[in-house]
Amino acid sequence: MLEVKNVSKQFQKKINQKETASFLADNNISFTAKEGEIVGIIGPNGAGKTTLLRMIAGIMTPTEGEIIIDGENYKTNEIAIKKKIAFLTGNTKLYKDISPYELLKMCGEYYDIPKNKLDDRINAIIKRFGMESFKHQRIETLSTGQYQRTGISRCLVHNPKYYILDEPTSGLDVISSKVILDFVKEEKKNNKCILYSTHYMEEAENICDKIVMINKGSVIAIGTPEEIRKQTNTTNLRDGFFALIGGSYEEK
Amino acid sequence: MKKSNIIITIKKELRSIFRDKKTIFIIFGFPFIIAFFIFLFGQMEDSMVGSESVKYNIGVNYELNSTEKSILNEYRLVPTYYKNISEMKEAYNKGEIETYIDFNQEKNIYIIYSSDDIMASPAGSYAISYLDAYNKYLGDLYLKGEDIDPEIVYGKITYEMKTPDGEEISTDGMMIDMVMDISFTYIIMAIAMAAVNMATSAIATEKENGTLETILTLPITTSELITGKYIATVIIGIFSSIIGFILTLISFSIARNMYEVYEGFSITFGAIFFGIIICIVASFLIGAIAIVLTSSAKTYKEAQAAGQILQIVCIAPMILSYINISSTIAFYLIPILSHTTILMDLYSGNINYLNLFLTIGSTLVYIVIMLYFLIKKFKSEKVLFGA
Repeated sequence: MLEVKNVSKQFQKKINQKETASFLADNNISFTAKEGEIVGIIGPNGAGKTTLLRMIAGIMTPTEGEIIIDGENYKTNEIAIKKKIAFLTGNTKLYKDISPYELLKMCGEYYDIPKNKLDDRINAIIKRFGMESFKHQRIETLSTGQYQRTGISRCLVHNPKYYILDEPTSGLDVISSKVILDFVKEEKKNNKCILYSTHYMEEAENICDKIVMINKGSVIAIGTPEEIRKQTNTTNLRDGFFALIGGSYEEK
Repeated sequence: MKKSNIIITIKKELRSIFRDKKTIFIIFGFPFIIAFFIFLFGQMEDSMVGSESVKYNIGVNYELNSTEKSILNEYRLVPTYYKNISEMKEAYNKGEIETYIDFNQEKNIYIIYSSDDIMASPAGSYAISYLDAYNKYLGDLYLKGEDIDPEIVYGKITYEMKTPDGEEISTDGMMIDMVMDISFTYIIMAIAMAAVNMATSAIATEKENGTLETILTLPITTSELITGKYIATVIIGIFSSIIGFILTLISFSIARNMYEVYEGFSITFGAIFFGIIICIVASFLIGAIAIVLTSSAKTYKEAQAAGQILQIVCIAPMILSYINISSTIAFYLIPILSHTTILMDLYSGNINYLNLFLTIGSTLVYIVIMLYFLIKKFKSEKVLFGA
């Protein structure tokens, strides 16, 4: 179980050469996510989704609140939690000068996977994503599709329990997006917990079991897509979002 | 800190850097420039000043007495007698002689025919020196015949050259000092170049590409990650400087047997040992400075610009030497300047253990300060994400 409890994140933003001002990226956010569940974190650009996911992934520290994964938090057991999660963002680039095989091997070594087990796991992943033909090719020479498959495969090497996917389909065409969406659905079947951030509300509506709708750093709705539609008396999440914010949107 | 995470990070950084052609050139190509420079300078200097072993063939069309032959020999001129100017010209054109002297008995004048390029052959200027010396010998002979002491005639004035501090100026070893200064500055600069390149790749490029964010989600702490990146930077610095150092020593050793200008260069076991120690400690310090300087940069370009400051600082010792600032004990406490100066001392045969201790000791103190600063800096999310 993944629990986000009253999490806030404050940054100091530079206004000019001399002055800085406090900026609340996330404000008192709480929700839970269970195994076998896809939780969509949705909201417009600048809503605070990336900061929230970075805190859940343990690469940023909340100013207030805590993140608890399987009863443990980052302060007491950072490494144990990190071994359970996989983080993938839409704009993450991979190391250009190594091959997919080397990338998977390096990640596996960080996860302390024994050498013989790691080789088997890498081979299984390579087979699953059809990477045999380019596994020893430098990543910089891969096609967009091959590159994308390599990025996803990296997340699987330690067989994580939780996936944190930050706008994974952002900027991708229909075919490439399908690869990601199929992967997410398959991992759900494997009883994995998936946090899926996106600003494509239709996409979230289609794959998510639960929606956490964020605007200007605050949660404006939590529930199943059906519950949010009912709550806002709309037929889709997009209209629901606008109904919740009063019809107008201003980016922070 | 978990050792295996640090080792994986070091391996990752080194693999990445050794697959980069630019870095390969800096590590392996750059020291060859130093070697090339050492030989080029030796060649140039010997061409201008001339080496004891180099003799110059000249042609004359007059009988030489024993005194003249002795003076010619002193100036490394080997005379050949020709009947007339035409024969000498022909021999000159064939390259058999480098200069020829035509003596016109009627006018009592010696005309020296030589190339106008003194750099190409100094034989012409040696021929002038020979005639000046012979002229003085004849003058001395005349004065003695008149019962006058030549010293009274030529000793009217005497001169000496000294520095404003009263030290005698000697040009002996000045040239080797200059070449050594440039070479050792280049060795320290090679550390800076390699370290900046490595630090840029390890920090700024990872930030720019977003790979730093990904790697921080793996089971590795920030301290382990930064330690791994720092050690990889130091290894590259050591590798680069040791290659440069060894190649410089080999070049000087070979050049010493080829060119007289390098006769003052001395190599002892102590100088090699301490030279390597200096390269290692300098790499630890410069590596830390390179990471601190490049860590605030969000892009590769910004990091390179920040790293250039370090590279410029590395040239400072050479500039100080050009403007003739003598080293004082304070030099051995100033990082980078101390490293170049102590390497110069070691290979001039002036090993001073106090200065060596000050250099190594002060560098270790600076390393500790830089590491404290580095770890503190990387605890900040602003440095990691520019947040």
